[in-house]
Amino acid sequence: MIDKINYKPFPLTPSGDKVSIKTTDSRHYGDKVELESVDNVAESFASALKKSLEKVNDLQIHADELTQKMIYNPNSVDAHEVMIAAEKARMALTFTKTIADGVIKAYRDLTNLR
Amino acid sequence: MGLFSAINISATGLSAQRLRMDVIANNIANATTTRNTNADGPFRRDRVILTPLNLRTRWRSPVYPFGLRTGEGMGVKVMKIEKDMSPLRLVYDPTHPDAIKIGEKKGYVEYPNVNIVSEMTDMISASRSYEANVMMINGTKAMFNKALEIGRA
Amino acid sequence: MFEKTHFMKTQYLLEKGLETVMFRRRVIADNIANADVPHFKRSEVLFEEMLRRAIESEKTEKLNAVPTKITHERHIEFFKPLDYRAVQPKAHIDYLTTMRADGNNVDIEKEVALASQNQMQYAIMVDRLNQNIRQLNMVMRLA
Repeated sequence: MIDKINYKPFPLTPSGDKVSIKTTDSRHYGDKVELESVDNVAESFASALKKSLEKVNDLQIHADELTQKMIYNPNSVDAHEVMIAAEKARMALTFTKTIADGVIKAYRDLTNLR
Repeated sequence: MGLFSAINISATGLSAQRLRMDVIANNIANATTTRNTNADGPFRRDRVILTPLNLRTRWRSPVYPFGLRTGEGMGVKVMKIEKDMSPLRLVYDPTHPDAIKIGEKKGYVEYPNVNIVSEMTDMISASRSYEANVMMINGTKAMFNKALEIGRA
Repeated sequence: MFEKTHFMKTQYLLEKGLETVMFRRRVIADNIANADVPHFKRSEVLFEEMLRRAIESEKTEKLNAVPTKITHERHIEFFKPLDYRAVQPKAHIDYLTTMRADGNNVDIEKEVALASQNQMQYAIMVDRLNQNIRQLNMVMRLA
């Protein structure tokens, strides 16, 4: 009974051990990688779509930045990093275009229903 | 991190070993030279002092042990080429024009302190290091070519 | 996007492995270049053991986890699996051994053997990465 009175809903993973550490240098120890990689949970279809397109754009920008860095600062970037980023960007864009083509085709099929 | 850091590191090794070979060749060529450019004695053996290169050495202190590196290694550097001050070889030959005229070593000729056998072993060690560095560069080039295949159909 | 799937975990580990292999290549090149500098101590890279510990701690989570009664968000669990994404390759200097009288402890044969193993690791990782990418491409083609 007493438990029910003090009961507060908490998120699915308890986070009592996540303390925020002020890391100002690359040599400081601290949790730098966040574990939450939840798939797109959004309020509406439009915002989910927008977020996905933004992610595709981010991948493209990242690939472009690595390519530029390869030119003006070659010692800061690895060969396989550049190739993998370029491949991810290309795959993301291709996939988006494929899905968009499929959606448009489906829409046309539906509107051309006699 | 770097596209060519690995090759740069091996390149510094190559140039250091090359310099060492040149110095050894000079020593062997001058193994019996009794005169010097400064005219103050015979040829003395040259020695190459190498030191490792680091990305960042943050602080130096007299009690920090020598050879304890603090950053990521970046290869090797030739610090200086200095004369080896070990005792010279003395050969008794009073008729030689460079024989010592006065003092307790009268009649002795000072020959360079070059030991041909140890120079030869140094040469073998230098050429072995050179070959190992060349192998590293070849391997890194092959890895780079392999990385270019990512995404190729 | 699909980061909790097995496939994406493999991709992530392959990329991390490639980065480690390049890092190890640089450390081995440094060791070989400094192979006859007096008082030089060789370095080595630690990554695979730490990664193995992190991944195996996820697998044995069910056995080791003592159930806890958690009623507040600031409670801490008893057993938390290590996150394999937080594992970074580290280079550390091997102080304690000596090969030669001048304080150098680089063994060229061992370094060369490590370097050839390194090259083979890189080749097989790149090949696997390519195969996975080709599979994705094949799936994404519109029928």
